Amino acid sequence: MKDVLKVAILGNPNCGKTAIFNLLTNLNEKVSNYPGITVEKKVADFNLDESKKISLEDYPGSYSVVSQSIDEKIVSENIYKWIRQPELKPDTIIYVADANNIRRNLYFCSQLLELDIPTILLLNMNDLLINENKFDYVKLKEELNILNVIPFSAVTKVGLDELKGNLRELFSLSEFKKNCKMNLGKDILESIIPVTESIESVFKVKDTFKNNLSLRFICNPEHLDNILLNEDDKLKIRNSINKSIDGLNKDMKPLLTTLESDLRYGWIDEVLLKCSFKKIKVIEKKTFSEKIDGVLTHSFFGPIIFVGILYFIFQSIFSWAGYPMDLIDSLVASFGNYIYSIMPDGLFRDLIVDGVIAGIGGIVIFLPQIILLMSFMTLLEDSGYMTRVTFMMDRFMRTMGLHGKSILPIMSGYACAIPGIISTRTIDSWKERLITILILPLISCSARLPVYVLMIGTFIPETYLFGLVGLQGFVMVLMYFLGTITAFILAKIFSKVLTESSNPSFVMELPAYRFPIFKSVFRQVYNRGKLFLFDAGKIIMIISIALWFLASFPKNNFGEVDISNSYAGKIGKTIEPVIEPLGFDWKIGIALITSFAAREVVVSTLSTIYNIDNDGEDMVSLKEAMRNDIDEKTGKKTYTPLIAISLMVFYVYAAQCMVTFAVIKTETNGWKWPIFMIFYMTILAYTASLLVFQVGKILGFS
Amino acid sequence: MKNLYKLRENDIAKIISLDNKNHSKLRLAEMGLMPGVQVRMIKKTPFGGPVLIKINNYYLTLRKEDASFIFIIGD
Repeated sequence: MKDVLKVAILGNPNCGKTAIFNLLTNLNEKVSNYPGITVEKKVADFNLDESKKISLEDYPGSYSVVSQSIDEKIVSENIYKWIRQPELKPDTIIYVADANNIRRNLYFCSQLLELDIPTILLLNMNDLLINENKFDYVKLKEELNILNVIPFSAVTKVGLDELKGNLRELFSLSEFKKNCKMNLGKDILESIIPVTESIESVFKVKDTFKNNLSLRFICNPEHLDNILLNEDDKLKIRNSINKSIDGLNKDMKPLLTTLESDLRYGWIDEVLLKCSFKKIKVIEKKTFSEKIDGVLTHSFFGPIIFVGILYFIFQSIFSWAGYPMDLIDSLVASFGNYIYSIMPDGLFRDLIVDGVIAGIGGIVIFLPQIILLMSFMTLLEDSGYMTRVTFMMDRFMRTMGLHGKSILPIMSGYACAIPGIISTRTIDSWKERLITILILPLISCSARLPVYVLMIGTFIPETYLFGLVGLQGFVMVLMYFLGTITAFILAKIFSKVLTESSNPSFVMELPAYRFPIFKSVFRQVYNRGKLFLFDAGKIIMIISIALWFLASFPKNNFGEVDISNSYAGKIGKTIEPVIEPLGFDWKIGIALITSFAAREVVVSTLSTIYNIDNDGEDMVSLKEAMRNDIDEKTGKKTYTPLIAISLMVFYVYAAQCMVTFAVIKTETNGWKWPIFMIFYMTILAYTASLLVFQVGKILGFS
Repeated sequence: MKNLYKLRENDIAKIISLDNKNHSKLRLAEMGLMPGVQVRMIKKTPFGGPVLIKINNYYLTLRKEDASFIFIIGD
């Protein structure tokens, strides 16, 4: 009897693995990691019944053990780890297959069966199974000799009880009959003997599995570069491959690349034939999905519809999210005032009100926008629309030095660069992936929004251009536009300059349109929201408290603090000469420094500074305070509309979010690229801001 | 020999070979795009952009570079 059952969910992309993961774990588990950041896979622990604990692992979708993208490489690396260290193997694999595509789905499945891990095959989306694709699944179970084959539906939950029953039995599984595997012919076996010997010594594998693994490496020696092995072992295998290939018939060599796949499909066809599976001979007439695509990916209307959807999304983010944001804003303010009124006067009260509560408010206020944007993105992704956009936009994106698959990361970038950077993993060309990562932080994320909102709301008058377009809204759009256009221009430049390796292929499966599963959408949005709230929140919180300290000390003889003499004030004044040409004073200087942690901190920084400075009964309105702030030296207003614009332009370009650079370091395997980015973005921000302020002054703006 | 990129929208053909110059030969084979398989051109994007094809009962996108190295005969 096992204590914990380790279960891995594997399968092709887009066959519903995550939906099944969510269905099984039922939201009550603890998901230990955001997919990809540290452990590359999603793990959840949950109790099937009392005392039946399951550790469920959800892996990225793959078509084959021979990986093409980073996503697949993660899967492939794990599989080779299981081969070399069998004690790490999962107790069970739940292999999720699209019921309508069983032949192709069995390809990766048959590679996995060779590891001899007890396997349950789920024929998912069984509710959408069409008559021509039906086959004898009971027979398939016998033919593959696996634990079970279950017709399943993540939507109607058909098969869920049976799956749970199977999992229960697995806790006391005593004997395991080996899975069925493809056997190679004698002639092939004889010609690959040198490789089978080296594979046996490196991987400690035997029999059929040893032969099939050897075949894989002979067919694609480059596959060796994708797995974690020491150089000696790699060399050993490489030499044996060369030896085998030399002995091969000349006519065989051009066919070698696809030999494993040809033989494997041959084997799969044999198996399926016994299960009365009807191989598709003639491609049928237009399906419903194709008819929709006739409109949605239309050469002319397709892009127009896409732009329309984008417009709708951003419109709703700015208008709908405004209500909950105002509500949160006023709730936090009145909560702060309430705490202020009930707590005894003193340092501790100041810390709670000006440090902690102001900090929390600065985090929570973004949630509505992040949730909205993430919901839209998840809906577009889960319905299958995003892959169409990728396909449609590929030509244009390539012209800009990017990849069709860069669209999704860029769109996510409007919420937050971090999930965007992670999602570049699906781009299987390293150069285009790198460029996408390099330009992503230029896309105005939701953390810049409060900066824009504060500056525009305070300094840009509520007038109308030509009596039609609101000036405030226009400036806002301009900022988003500025970041986006610069991102594309730089992508083009990077693509000319960088000499990284590029893969010109773009093979992607277009899934049929599907109605998104509400629970799955909810779950993804929930996870991302939680990630933002807690991971980003922690940093903002710490900064907020540290800043309160720096701004509140040292106290003078009367126990009061003059902000300009505080530690924070001193730091701000030290950098003032550098930022003065941009129109910024020492208070903004402090905000620029704290923004290195996260951009949105700027608002809480300024409120902390003004609140401490004000030392009043109430939390002051930041807008009022900034508008009325008078420069002691000149007697003029400290901030003007021109300075506001200069500051916003600085925030469009500046490298400020530390977390982003930490993530980029992991994703690009080193500090080279993050340092390059900090460098180029800082120069860009400083120059642009300088231009805006100095040219603006010459033109007579203030 | 006619290549797949030349196939017109909605036309059906049979794949006869994949040239070794095709960068994704292995991946395409793993996905079931191999000699003998029927293919239908679903959608060609303008300006030499990628194409959408249907094989068996699923859809794949291919760029011009790859589609040009897949040879077909009319059906």
